[in-house]
Amino acid sequence: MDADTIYALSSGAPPAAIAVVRVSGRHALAAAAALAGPLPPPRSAAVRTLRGSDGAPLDRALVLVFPGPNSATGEDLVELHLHGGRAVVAAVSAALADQPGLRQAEPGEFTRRALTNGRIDLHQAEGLADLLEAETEDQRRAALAASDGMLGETLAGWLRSLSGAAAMIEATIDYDEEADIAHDRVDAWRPVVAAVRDEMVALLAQPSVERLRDGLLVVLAGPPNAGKSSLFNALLGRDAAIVTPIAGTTRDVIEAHVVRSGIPYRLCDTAGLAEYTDDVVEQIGIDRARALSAQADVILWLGERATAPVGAVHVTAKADLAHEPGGDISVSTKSAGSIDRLWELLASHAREQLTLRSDVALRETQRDALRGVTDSLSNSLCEIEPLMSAEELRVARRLLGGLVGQDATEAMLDALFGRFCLGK
Amino acid sequence: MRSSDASASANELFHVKQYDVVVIGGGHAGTEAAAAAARRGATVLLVTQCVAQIGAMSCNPSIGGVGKGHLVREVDAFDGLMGVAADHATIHRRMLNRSKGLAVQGPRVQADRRLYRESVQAQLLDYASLTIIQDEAVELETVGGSITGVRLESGSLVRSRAVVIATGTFLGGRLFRGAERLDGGRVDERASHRLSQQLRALDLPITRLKTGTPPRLDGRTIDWARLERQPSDADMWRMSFLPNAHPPLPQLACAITRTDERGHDVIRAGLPDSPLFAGAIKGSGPRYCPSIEDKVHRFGDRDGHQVFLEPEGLDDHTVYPNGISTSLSRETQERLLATIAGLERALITTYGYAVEYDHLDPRSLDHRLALHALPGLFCAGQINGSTGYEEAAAQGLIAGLNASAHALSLESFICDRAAGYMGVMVDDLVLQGVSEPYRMLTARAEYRLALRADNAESRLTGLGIAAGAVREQRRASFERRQEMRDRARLGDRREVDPDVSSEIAEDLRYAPYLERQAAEIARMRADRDVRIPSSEALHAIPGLSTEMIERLSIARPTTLDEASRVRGVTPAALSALWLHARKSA
Repeated sequence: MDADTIYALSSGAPPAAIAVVRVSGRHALAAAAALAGPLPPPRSAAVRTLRGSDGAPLDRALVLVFPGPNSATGEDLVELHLHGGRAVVAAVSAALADQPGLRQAEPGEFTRRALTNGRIDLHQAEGLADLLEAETEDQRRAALAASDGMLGETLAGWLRSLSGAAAMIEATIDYDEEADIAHDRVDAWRPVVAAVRDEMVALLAQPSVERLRDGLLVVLAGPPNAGKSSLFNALLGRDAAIVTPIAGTTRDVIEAHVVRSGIPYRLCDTAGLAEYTDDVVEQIGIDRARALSAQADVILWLGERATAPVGAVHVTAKADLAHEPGGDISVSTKSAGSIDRLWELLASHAREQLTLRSDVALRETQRDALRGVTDSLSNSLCEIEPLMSAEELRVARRLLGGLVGQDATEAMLDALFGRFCLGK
Repeated sequence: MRSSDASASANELFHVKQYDVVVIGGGHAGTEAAAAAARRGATVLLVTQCVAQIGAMSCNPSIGGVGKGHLVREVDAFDGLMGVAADHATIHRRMLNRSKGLAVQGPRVQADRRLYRESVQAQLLDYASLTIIQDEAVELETVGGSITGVRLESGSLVRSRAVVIATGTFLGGRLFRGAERLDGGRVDERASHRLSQQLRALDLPITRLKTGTPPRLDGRTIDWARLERQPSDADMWRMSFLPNAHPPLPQLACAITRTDERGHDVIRAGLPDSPLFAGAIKGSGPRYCPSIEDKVHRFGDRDGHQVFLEPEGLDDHTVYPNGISTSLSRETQERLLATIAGLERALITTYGYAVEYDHLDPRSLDHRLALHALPGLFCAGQINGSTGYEEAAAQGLIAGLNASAHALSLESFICDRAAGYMGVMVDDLVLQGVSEPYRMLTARAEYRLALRADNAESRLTGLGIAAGAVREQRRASFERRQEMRDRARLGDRREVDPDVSSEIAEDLRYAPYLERQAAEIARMRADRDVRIPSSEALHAIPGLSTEMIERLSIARPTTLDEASRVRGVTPAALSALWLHARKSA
């Protein structure tokens, strides 16, 4: 068993109605008792007031205890269901960090412990993570497609095609003498490989599982004091950031995950983009804002149209005060109707960028491997010497075989002897 | 195991002989095993039923080919017999894949059967510590679950710490031709029966495989003038890295003909009395060397199949029609020949037949080709589910090196997949097992750009010297050629052997690919350092399903790298093994 006891927020990012913090490891029960007082019996929920080390109340929370080894991680496990505010989660996390032997979990560490302790296997771990985090219809479709094996079937189909293509080359290499294999049609494998590569490229152009899960990245950007934070709060419908008229108040990027009409969004309010600041902290915020804007799916630009980044949606904010009409969209934080119109605009972007054109989505690790496969396939098509094409195809088949969990060489030999009449 | 009353002991004392290694079988696996064990310093007894048949080529008269030629060169790099014998007997040579890059060029020769056999026998005579006896091994002697010797048919007991079984198709062999059933002779039958029974008593997984031969023809009755001739290569390349001691023999041409629809009709009409299709043969045959009836049956749309006519010797009229291996009845064989161009009037000297035989599931062996279940017992060749002279020879070499290591307490010799085709074959056999007779193909070797037939000496002779398995003449030749390689790499080609010169040039051509493969090889060798527990301890590993435990228990991988090649083992199971190894570290 690992020495450390770990804790982490295991529900989505706050703010949310409920935030679940999990604590796992041999100090879990003691730590929970230090915050909550006497713990409820195993597997039954009870309301407790959580207190910090100074005795100050942090939250009224639901506490559940799962003693190991029959818990999700195989270790002693406590769940704290908190009110989902950012401040509450931060305060409880800090109180847990003060407990002896506890530390913040690394990403995926709960799942890894479950795996190590034999509570789940690797496929379940990956599938489970997706299903638990699937919040929207598209995500659920993708997760279900994966569990139905549609992705596996697609990958296996490609491996079959590539095995057949490789077999055409390998037959000419290992059976040099056989006039009966088509030495004259030495390039017959090329269209097969090109077709598989093109299908892979098309799939790679689709959003990944991670992107479906995280949602459309919407960045609010513009000069200081342009009303970004007010708009951010209006979009969330509650006070999430401090809104003041003083330039530069929002010193860092503030993020919120929102699901509206079944579509996930990641809204980011950035620091005001002052051209220059001598405040180090402010500068860090500005750098982060620039980095985020570069990744954004949609930038809502609050500022002069002339200075808007390429492709940004120009928002005329403070429409109740402003005298400058003519943005792509005008909103007023005081008008629920104008906020709804902005949401509709975002939804249309999301439908365009986050919709699966097939029922198959890839995880990032799978995407990386597939990119390697497409590179090798392209290389194989560039090679003139059959031996070198075969080598590139071998690399591609090995990567793909690894994804499917099949032996690529065996698959190719099956294709070889199934297709050609070989041997004397 | 045997009772030892006083009179038996006295009797045995008289007959008892002592050798470090006993090799059972005088075929390609047995002779290489015996010679390799002797080179490593062991005293060796080679037991064979027929001394005159030592080194006989029982099937086609050719040595080498694509993949197979790589194996011959690797055996030769370890100072083995096969390359030298092939050079001594070559009557036709053909470098396959000549246009495709050295990595997959496959040297193949037609060998005069008699000369080949004579060369193997003459080479064995050079080994002072090797004794050959014409007898039969009837029983393995064991004490406390380890090999202590072999009892022979003549009654003698041979004490030995290591035994290599290289009996080919001899264990439980059965011949089929049409409705005919032939057993391999009464004496053979009895001997094989007892050894076979003893192996079965060890509860080893033994199953059946089949192979076949074509009818042999009298070359004087073939109409050569009508056939396409295939001349021997103009350049006199050699199989062995050693210089040829003899002037080359006259080179003969081969010829090619074809079956056609008329012949296929004959075959289809003859199928009802085929043992294969009537279900008499249960063992699986190879997909890549199928019988002609199999080809016609599986590829019915094909209008013809090639037949290569290969001469068997300079003073022998026999011709081997490669491509029409069959177990159809004598009448059907005659009627088939009558439809093939050039063979219409050909006389059959021996009719084709199929052999079904016992083989051991090679997953019961480790990478030394030693049996897990009986320390001191090694197996090589067809008994391990392989087919082909070259595959047998290479396994004989590995088994012989390790049998002598076992007997003399020397270091084992393990060839990994990146070091040679021998390593690919042994790894495939002991981890994957076989579902059909195993044949070497370059497609099986993931590092084939590095594993060329022409660089086998560079790759392996140094390892052979380190293992003490290379004799003085070979070592001197290797050092001389290494010096040439060093100079050739610096651009000095004066007095550099032409094959060394082209080897160095080819190294440069593949360099970028080899660099990428080097990363792959490094990863494989890193995974080799991750030990995984024995099959008994697998149950304690969390996250391993019963199915995975079963698969791993059969193949018995000892490292993560080996486990990754066991068929059906999932990435999830591998990560569970890896996690376990890290936790236990």
